[in-house]
Amino acid sequence: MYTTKIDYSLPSHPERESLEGKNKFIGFWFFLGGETVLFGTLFATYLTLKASSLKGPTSQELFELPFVALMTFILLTSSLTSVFAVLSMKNKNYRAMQVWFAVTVLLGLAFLGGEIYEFTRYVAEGHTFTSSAFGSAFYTLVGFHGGHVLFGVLWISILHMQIAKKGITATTAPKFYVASLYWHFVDLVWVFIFTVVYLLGKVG
Amino acid sequence: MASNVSNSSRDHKRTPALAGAGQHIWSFLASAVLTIIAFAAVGLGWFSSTVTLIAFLIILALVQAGVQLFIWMHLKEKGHSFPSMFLATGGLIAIITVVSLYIWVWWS
Repeated sequence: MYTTKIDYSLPSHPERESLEGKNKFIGFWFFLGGETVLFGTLFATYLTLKASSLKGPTSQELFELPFVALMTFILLTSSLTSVFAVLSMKNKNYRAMQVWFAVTVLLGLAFLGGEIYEFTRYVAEGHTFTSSAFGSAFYTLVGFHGGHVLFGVLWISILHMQIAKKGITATTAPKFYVASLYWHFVDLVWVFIFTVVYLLGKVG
Repeated sequence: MASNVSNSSRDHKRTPALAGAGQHIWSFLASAVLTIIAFAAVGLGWFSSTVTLIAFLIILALVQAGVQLFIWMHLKEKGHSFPSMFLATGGLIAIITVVSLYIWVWWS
């Protein structure tokens, strides 16, 4: 109809307009249910092993709350910017959507940079993957979350390139919608990581 | 008809990109405040009892998770009964795993 970057005939919920979009939506939520179990097992392992630090540093000695709080705010803000991106998509504003998703990706990269810095500092203090059961459980859980952030950054970046070419259509809108669901889920997991791993790790 | 006309407007700059962002900004502020409270409770030592502190922190985390799920992931909106079921099932299995492993290892 129009040659602009966006199909203005799109309904207010473009992510569930086509059958493909509906399947993607329901399938992705099924996947998130599975992810919950996956992270549940990693949290269970961490909780059972966190006191077993052998001669390595304990969680009380390692963790620095101001830095963790900074990481938390970076990820929380990125969750808000991805909400703004999906809102811009629903309000059919292509440029704003591109900008907000770009900000989300940049914040995700900042979070990853912070995590790499944090891990290298821990390794320098003798807290490694093989130093103790606490080390193995810590890096598995937090590293798995970091891997999810990395995957989200790559996924959204690739979608960003695709949408620059194709615009927002009934085919591309569901992809962005589920990517934003994924991003919120990654932030949701982080809420439990900063609570269970860092805050409770500081308490003992 | 009126809504169709505005939807098919060519000039997309007329639609504010963030129309309807109010509840999301409030959710963000609520999450930020809950985060600050959680860090302050540990950093400033608000509770003398560890058990109370742990319970307090878990409740704060669950409230934040609820904000993410129901508002930012739209779980409260229509057409989300299957997603809610998937997530509730996953969450239930996760809780059973965490609690049973914890009891098995530490309360023996």
